Amino acid sequence: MQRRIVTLSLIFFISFLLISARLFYWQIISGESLSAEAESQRSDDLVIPAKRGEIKASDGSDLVSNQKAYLVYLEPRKMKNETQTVGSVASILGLDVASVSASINRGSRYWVPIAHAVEEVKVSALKEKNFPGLGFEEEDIRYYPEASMAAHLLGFVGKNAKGGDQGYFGIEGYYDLQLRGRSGYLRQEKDARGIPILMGDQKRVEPEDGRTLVLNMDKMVQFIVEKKLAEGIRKYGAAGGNVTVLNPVTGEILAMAGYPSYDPGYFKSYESEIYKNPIVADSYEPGSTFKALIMSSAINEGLVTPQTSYDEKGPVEIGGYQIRTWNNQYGGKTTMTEVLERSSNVGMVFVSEKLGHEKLFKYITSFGMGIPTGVDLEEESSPAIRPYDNWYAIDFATASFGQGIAVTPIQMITAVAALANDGKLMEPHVVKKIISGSGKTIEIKPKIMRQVISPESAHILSEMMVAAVDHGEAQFAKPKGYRIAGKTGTAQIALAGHYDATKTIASFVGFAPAEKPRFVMLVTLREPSSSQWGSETAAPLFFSIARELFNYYGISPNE
Amino acid sequence: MKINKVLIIIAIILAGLQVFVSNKYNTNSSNIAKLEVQIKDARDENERLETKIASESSIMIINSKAESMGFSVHPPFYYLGQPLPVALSNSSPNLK
Repeated sequence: MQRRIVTLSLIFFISFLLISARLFYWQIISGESLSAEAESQRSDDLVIPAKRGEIKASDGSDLVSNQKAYLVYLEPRKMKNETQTVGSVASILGLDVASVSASINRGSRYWVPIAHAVEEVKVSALKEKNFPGLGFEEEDIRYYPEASMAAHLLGFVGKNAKGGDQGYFGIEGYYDLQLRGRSGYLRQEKDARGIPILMGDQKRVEPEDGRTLVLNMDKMVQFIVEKKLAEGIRKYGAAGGNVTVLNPVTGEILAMAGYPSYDPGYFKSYESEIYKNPIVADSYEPGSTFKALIMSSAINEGLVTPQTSYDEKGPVEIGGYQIRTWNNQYGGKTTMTEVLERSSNVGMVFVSEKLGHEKLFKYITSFGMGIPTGVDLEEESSPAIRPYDNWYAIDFATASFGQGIAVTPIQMITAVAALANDGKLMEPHVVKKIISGSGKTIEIKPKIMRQVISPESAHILSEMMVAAVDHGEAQFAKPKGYRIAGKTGTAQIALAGHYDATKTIASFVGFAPAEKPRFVMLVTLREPSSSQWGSETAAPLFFSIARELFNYYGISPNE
Repeated sequence: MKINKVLIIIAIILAGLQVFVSNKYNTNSSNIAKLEVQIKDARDENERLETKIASESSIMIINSKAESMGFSVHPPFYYLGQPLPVALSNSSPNLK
């Protein structure tokens, strides 16, 4: 009897020990993970994604918005008829059957993403098939109502290393953090059917949608510019080109177009070399358009006036190099106004000698060369200007007519805008205002960088540029009755340490109406084949766009 | 003694009320789930319509539709440099 009691006690004791050990394991060792597992079974954790901010034109119309799309995925272990499922999915999505089949058979995968950004129509067609193992997940994609319009200005949205959305280039890149917003979070208890329990625990953090950006860009001006640029590229047989229009008084960028361009909605179909905006990322030698800046510097210093003259007898020699005029013709007694009208390199050497090396260098940097303009576009870069001590006499001479110095188109137009704006250099800006999800608006005010030349000097130079248009090589194309200040430019392209005489960058920069400028515009054409001269290619294109802008802004002739 | 009885009755009523309210809320949660689905559908529909409006009012679309309907780009503008000698009637027409 005693023995049986002892045995029973022993069994009880061992059972107690085993149960305690098991409880110890459940509660102490695996307590945390089991608790988390139980929590996951009865609660739902959802990330509420923030909507990426929209981008609008100055009139409030959409340039970039969001559109619902789907990620299509397959779960190979749940699939019943692999051949039929893969065949239908590949056919509806326009994919290669072999590659879809290979992706699901790679190892023992549970979940295989098949395609991102699939449109609703295709998803509806797939849903009708009702294949086991075929699933969909909603995702937002960017929608461009104007298709490829202003692609270089806008940039695009791609994926980052973590698979999340990220803006690249242009506005999307520069304002990525503002546009991205902050995702929200929802944790709630659910019942066995997956329905949320109202009396249960619930924690909700609302998402903060990305901010909306309203641009200074005028959609109509952009449309005109893109249309005319495409026509110009075809007409003059150019390899590329770009046009920028800005408001000289505020620095607002009204239009910006580069060719070749791409469609940001399908950016993967294009070579990545064309993603960068050439207006802010590519440099070129500005050629004779630069003469306006150097001439204004000399006028500002009181060293020359429009009537100052010199005797143009022939080529001049600087540091062992001969500098000639573009047509190798020399006009004898020539005034400063005529130097711009005839675009005389020899005349500009005279001006640079009057100005002196130190002041010439000071004005070049003061006009913003060698320094990024601060435009709100991600890929802006600035070609470096060599330190003053590394310049030789020939460098100062050639810089006076825009050779041997590299600038970006945005630097060039910003500098010329200062001539149209009483000598004040403005920071160019693409975004006009930023609107948060709560409706709070941040206005971007015009920013004056510095006063480069006096208002009087700017007015004198404007008149000289008007004369350069009226009596220069491009006068045939000028719209009659309008006072347009402008300057042509033809710069040879430096290749492997020397200039290629057959390849040029033709350009024209100007503003109108000259007395109260409404816009300043820079047109550049790379390697035009119909003529290498800016006066026969870029200038007519400039005037053709200007004509449309006069109509659009309701500016009547006043001459 | 009397107060105790009242407290017990109140406790019973509150317990009953709790059961009733919990029950009602839990029934409502499926309705709320349905409402949330409807809200999401309405938002999706709004987004679709916004996209459609943006697409239809796009300058590119308007331009191509105008061209297909036979509209042409405006003819060149003509400006009068000086006032022309236009004969105007002394008596203005009655515009009422």
